[in-house]
Amino acid sequence: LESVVFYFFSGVSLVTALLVVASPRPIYAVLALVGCFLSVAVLYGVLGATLLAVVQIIIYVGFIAVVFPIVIVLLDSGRTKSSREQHGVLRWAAALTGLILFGLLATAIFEDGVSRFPAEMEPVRGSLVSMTYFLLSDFAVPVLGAAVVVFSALVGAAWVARR
Amino acid sequence: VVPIEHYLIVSALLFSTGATGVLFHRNLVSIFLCIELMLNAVNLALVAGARSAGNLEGQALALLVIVIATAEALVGLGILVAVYRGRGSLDVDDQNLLRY
Repeated sequence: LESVVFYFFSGVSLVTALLVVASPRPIYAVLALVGCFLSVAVLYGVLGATLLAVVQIIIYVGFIAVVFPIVIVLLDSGRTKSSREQHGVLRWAAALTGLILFGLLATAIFEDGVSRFPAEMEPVRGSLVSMTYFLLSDFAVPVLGAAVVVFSALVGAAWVARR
Repeated sequence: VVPIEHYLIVSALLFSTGATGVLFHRNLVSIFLCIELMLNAVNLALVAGARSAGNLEGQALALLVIVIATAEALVGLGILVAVYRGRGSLDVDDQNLLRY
C-alpha cells in the first residue's frame, strides 16, 4: 500500500510542479502549487512524519492559498504581465539547466553513500508528542533562533511594505 | 517498501523543476512560487533522510525550514508590494536600478 500511495502522490506532485512552471498566469500556478504541497504532505505522512504533514497542510498550504492570491489581486500582475514570458532561446536554456541540475543531483544520489542506509526499518513516528519533546530538548536553540527570525521577518515585512 | 532513493529522486525532480521555473519566468510572483517549490523539495529530502537515519532530526529541521520559508515568503511578498509601488512593474527585466 505504501508503494502505491507513494508512486501515485509523487506523480501528482511532479505533474503539479510542472504545471507551476508551465502556467502563464500566476493564479493558476498558485493553485497547482497548492496541489503539489498537498501531495507532498501525503508523502510526509507515508514517511512517518505525521506532525509535519499536518503542519504542511495547515500552515504552509493555508499561507500560500490565502496570501499569494491576495498579493496577485492586489498587484494585478496576472493581467498585465501574462503575455511577457522569457524569450525562446532562454526558455530552452532554462529547461537545459534544469535537466543538467537533475542529472547532477541524480548522480549524487546514486553514487554517494546515501544508498547504503537501510530503508526497511520501521519509520520513526514524528507525532505531536515526540516532535515536541525533541524540539524542546535537543532542538531548543534552533527553535529559539527561528522565533527570532520570525519576529524580525514580521517587523521587516511591515517596514518594507509601509507607505 | 519504497527505497529511499526514490524519495530522493522525486525530491531532486521537484527541485530541478523549481530551478527551471526560476529561470523560465520573468514575473516576480511566478519566480517566488518556484522558490517555494524548491524549498518544499528540500523538505522532502530532509524527511526522507530522517526516515533512513531512524531519528527525528531531519523532521525537526524540516519543520524549521517550513517556519523560515513562511517568514521568507512574508518578507518577499512585502518586497514585491514595495517594488510594484516603486517601479510599477513586476517584470525582472524592469528592475535594473542596480545593473550598472
